[in-house]
Amino acid sequence: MRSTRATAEPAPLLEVADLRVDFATPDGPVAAVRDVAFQVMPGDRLGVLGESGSGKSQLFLALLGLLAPNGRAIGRARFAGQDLLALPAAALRRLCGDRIAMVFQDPMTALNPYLRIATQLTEVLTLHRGLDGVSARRAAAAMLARVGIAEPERRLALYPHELSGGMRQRVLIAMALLCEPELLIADEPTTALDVTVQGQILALLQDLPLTQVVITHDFGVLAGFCNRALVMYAGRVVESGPVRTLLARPRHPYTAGLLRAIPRLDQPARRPLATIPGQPPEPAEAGVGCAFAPRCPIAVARCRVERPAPRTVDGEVTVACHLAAS
Amino acid sequence: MSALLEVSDLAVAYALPTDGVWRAPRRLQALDGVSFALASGETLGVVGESGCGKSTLARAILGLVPPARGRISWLGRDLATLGSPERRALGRDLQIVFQDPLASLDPRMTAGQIIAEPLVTHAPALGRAAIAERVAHAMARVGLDARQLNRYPHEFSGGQCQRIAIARATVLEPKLVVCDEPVSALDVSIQAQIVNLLVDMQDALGLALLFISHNLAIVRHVSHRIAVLYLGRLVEIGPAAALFEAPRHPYTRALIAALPVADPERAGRAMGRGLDGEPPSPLAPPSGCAFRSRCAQAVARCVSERPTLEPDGAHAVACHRWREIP
Repeated sequence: MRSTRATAEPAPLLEVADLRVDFATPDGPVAAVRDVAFQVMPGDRLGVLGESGSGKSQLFLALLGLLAPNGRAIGRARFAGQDLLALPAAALRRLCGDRIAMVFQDPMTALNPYLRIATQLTEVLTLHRGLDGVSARRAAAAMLARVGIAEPERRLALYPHELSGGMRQRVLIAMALLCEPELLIADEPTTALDVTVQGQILALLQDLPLTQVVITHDFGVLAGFCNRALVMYAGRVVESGPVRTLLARPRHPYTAGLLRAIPRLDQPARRPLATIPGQPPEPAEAGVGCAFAPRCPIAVARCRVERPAPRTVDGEVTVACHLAAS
Repeated sequence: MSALLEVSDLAVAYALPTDGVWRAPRRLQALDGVSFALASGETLGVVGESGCGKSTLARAILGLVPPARGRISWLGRDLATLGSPERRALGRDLQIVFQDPLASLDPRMTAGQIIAEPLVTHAPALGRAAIAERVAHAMARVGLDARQLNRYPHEFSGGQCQRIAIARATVLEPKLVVCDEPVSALDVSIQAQIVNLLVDMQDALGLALLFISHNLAIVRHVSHRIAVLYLGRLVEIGPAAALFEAPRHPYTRALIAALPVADPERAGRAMGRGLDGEPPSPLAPPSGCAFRSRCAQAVARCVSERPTLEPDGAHAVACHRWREIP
C-alpha cells in the first residue's frame, strides 16, 4: 500500500528522521524521544498512540518549537521542503499557524480566560493574514459556524468559561483552521470530553479536508478516525503501519498486549483481562536492550542486550522487535 | 440476595452563590429521584457524562452530602436515623476508592500507615502486631511488596497508588466499596491490572461494588447490573448484558453507539456521531423528560410529563416511548 502510493504521489508532507529530544536536568540530560522516523503523506490521518511518558506529545511539541526551555530537539523534520528544526524561531512561528496548526487537549487551559472568544480568534487573522478588525470578525464568525457553533456572532462576545467543554474544543479547532493550515496536529482532542461530545468532535475533524495527526491513548479513536498509526513506547516508535493491519495483526508484543488489555464488548464480562505486567520505564532508565523487554511475555536473552532496529515486514508495517513474525 | 444498600427517591441539591445580592440563591439539583438496590457481593456500574450526578451519588451514600429528599438504607436501616457513633461504625463496612490515586493518599504517611489507618480507627483493640499482620496481608492481597511498607505515595506509580488505595479500602473486609472512576487516571496497560484486581478482591471477599465510571467498556466488564444517569436522574437500570444488547432508553443507545471500538473492520470508517448537543445545565433542566432536548424521538408528552422508571423484570427504563422506537 505504502510502496505503490509512494510512486504515485510526489512527496510526504512531513518527514521526520533520526529525531531525538533531550531535557536538561540537574542529573544530566534525560531522553524523551529517541530515533524517531516517520512520514505523513498528504491526506493521511495519522494516529500516534502511546501511554503517558511515551514521548508522543513531546515529539510534536519539538517539531513546532514548543519544547520547554530545557528541551532540545536534534534530527531532521522536513515539512513541505523546509527543515523545521533548522528554521529560525521567527520563521518557525510564522509557519506554525500559517501552514501547521495544533489543537491541545484541555480546551480550558488552551484558551486565555481573560479574553473574549472574538479577540482570541481575530488575533490569529490580524497577525497571520493581515486582515482588518471588521473582516477578521466576519471571518471568525464564519469559521465558528463551520465548526458547528450555533449563533456564532453571539458566542464571539463570550469568555471561555461561558462555554461548555465541547464548545471550547470547537473554538480551538476553529482557531486552528482560521489560517487554512495544511497539517493539523491534535493532542488528545477528545480526552477531556464526554463520550457523546467526543463523537461530535471526531465527526467534525473527520469532515476536514486536510492532513491530520491525532495524538491519543485510545485505540477506539485510532480505529474510528485514523488510516495510519504510530505506536510509541519509552520514547521510541515500536510499530507503525496502516491502522487496519495494526489492529487486525499487531506485530509488536506491546501493541498486541495493549489491544488485549482493553475490555471488548464482544468478549464475556468479568473474565480476567490480559495484562502487561509492570509499568513503563522512567525515561532515564532506558538501558541497552529493548525498553519493553522487562514487561514482554516473549522476550529472550537477545532482547535485553541488543536494541531491535525498526524493520519493515510485509512491505507496509514497520516494527522494532527481534521476534516479530514477518 | 438481600439488599445491602437501598436508595429510594434520593435527591441531592447544592446551594450555589447568588448572582447578586438581591437574587434568590441558586440551587443545583445534582440528583433527582434516584432509586435502586444493591445486593451483597454484587457490582452495580453507574455510567453517565460529567455533571450527571455520579460522584454526588457516591458522596451521598458515604454520608458526605445530606439528601434533600428520599432515603438511603443500609441493611434496612435509614442512614439519616443513625447517630454519629453508629454512622462512624458504618465505616467498617463502607469504603471508597477515588479517581486520583496520588491525591487521595496523604503524602506524609507511608503506605503502611495509610493501609493501617482504618484498622487504627475502627479496630483500636487490635495490638500493633495484629495490625502489622493485617496490613501485610492486605498488601499481599493487592500485589504490593511488603518491602514497600515504609515508602511514601510519591515513590509509587499511579497504578501502585491505586493498589494502596484498594488495600486501604479492603483491609477491614467491608461489605461495600464505592469506586469513583478508579481507573480513569491510569494508562491502558495499568487499567487492566486494577480492573482484574477489583474483580478478584470482590470474588475473594464477597464485596459489593458501586463502580462509577464514564468508561462504558470497563463498566460492562466489571458490572452485574448497570445504572445510567442523565442530569441527576436514573434513566435506565438493568442487567449488564441486557442493557448492552438491548438498550431501551434513547440516551443509553446513544452512549453505546458513541463508544469508539478498536475494531479493524471499522478502521478509518466514519464513527457513529452519537448525539447532537450537550447535556443541559443542571441549574435549568428541561421540563418533562430531562433528555428530551437532545432526543430525536421526543414528542409533546416528553415535554409536559416526566417519565417514571418503569420496571420490566430486572430491567427498568424511564422513557415514554421506549416500546415504540425501533
